[in-house]
Amino acid sequence: MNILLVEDNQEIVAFVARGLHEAGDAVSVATSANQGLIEAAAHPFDVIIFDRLLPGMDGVDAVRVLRQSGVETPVLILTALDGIDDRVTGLEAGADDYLTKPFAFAELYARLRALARRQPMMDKEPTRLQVGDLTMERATQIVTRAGVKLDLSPREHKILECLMLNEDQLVTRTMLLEKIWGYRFDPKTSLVQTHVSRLRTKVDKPFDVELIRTVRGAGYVIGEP
Amino acid sequence: MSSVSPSALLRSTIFRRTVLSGLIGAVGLIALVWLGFAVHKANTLGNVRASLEEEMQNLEALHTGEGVDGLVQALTFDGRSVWDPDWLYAILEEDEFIARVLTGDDETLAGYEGIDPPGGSTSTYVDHDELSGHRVLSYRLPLDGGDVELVVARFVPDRVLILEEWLVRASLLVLLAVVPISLLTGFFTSRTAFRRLDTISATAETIDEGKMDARVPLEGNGDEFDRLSSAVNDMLDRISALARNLEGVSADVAHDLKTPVSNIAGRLQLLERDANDPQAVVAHVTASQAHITTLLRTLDAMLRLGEVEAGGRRGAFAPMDFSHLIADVAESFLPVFEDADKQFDVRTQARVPVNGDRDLLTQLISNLLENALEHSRDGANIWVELRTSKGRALLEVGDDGPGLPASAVDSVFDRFVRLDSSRTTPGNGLGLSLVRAIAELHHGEVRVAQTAPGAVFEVSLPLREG
Repeated sequence: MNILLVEDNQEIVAFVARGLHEAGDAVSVATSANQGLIEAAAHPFDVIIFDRLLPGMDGVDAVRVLRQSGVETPVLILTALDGIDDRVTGLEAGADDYLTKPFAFAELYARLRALARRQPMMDKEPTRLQVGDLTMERATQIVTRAGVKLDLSPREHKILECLMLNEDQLVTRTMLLEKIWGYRFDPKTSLVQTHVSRLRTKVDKPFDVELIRTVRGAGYVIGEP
Repeated sequence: MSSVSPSALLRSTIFRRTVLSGLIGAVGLIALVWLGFAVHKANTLGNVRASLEEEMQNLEALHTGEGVDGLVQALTFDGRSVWDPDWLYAILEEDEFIARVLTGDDETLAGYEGIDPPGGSTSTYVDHDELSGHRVLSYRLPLDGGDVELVVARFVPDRVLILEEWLVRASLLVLLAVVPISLLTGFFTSRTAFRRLDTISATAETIDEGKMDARVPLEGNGDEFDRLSSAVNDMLDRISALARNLEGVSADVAHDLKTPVSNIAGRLQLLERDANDPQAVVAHVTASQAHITTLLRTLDAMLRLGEVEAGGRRGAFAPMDFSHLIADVAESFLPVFEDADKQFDVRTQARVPVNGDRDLLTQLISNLLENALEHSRDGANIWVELRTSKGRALLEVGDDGPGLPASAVDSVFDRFVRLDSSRTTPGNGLGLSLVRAIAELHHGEVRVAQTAPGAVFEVSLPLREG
């Protein structure tokens, strides 16, 4: 991925840049909103990370300017604020995702991958998802593994679909909470774990190969081992 | 209790008003008496004037009929046409008329010589050794083209004049007396007020010195000062309760935030010591991250609680079916309850329309369910029931566990309150506070409907109209 990071906090720049380098992605860093806007207009990026509190301009305003000037690159906003309305403001301005500091790098990376992947597939959403011998027909909502039809609840179906759309990539618990449940708060209970664990007993347990893997402390990945 | 200083008294509104109203009252009273007297005087003089005019007409008719001689004849008493001054005493006492007929050369033909008023109707005095001080009303009328003139007069009744004189003195006296009296009244009235207000001031000073339990004593007569004092006391009670709560909260916040920080500090020291043991490093980092998560959860909950309590989110309210929302959340939690070996039963009435914030109401239900999950025994039955009653949606979440002590019925919703006073169980004591804040944001309320056997929490929200 080719990523633009607009952030003035050097600690966070170092933390994010190092993680992205290690993952083999390219990072450009801008330390002010103006610089970030110029960079964003000049070069094609897969994803832009915009800090909410930048010298000279609010990150949300910067995103609005970016969208008005016709740049459609996916944007993820980083914020230290945790107001419920902040997220809405950010998304309304044209940002695509939103992450509150402090965050785990895995969480940020999973979201960046999801955003970067979104773009080219915008036009043709696949009608059939396949991971190994697991198949999901999206029109009929029929899921089979090794030719055996699986009986999933609607919520389990949605979780599986979300995982399969991000094959071989981490889907975090928070991402699942937002996408499947629409919750913007973190329940104390292991809501996600419980549901994923039920899904796994149906998808993996009767078969030899385990497709869904837990990434400790972060989330889940589906893929062939 | 401090005494009232004279200068403070002069500045006192009560004192000034009392004195002023005393003076206004006195002046008003005097004015009223004078008004009554004026009516009485006008009436008396009117009577005198009317009788005088009548007498005048009689004499004029006599003159027309019998000429000047006839007039002289009529005014002749005891063979004398010109009156002796002594006769006036009888006239004064009997309310009769003084008359005089005179020629153009001021020669008296008949009547009393000592009266010489100007023409027409006037008020004048008679020329007499002793009666010259008595006022008379008089008429002077020329007859026969001015050759002869007729004067008729009558004494103004003494009582009117005496009354008038008496009234002038009385008015002055009242005015003189009312000043010291109203000053005295003002002093005593304002002293009473000062004394009562001083009690309140003294209480305020005591509290200022740090004795928060001081209260204004009441006299028990329910007057305005008692009402004020009682209101001040109520306010002080409320502030004290809040202050106590805040002190408790501050201590609890400090504790809840300090614990994970201390744990992290400890882990960092261990990390330094075990730097060469990769397994230990991973263990310390994992543990530190868990503590940071705890810390962030508490901070998040505090921020969210603050945001909800500030009430700024009503703008995002939308119509929704509470029943549908509850069914959805309950469905998500069902496997969690099953894994915890607890029975979970959901009974919802269909279509319960409310107005609200979907995200927050979801959190409200979720927090109540998590509370039941955490605080019920193994194998417990937990149930959720939604019904409508009297224009309100009633949501009950209950269990058949040990319940909670009756003393905790109110405090359980306070921030950082945990019934486990050792604070060792997980949780930040904000879950139910957030439930209450969310319910109140939606113009609803939450209460403990039952404490034993098994706690039952009841949320009541107004139904959407129409």
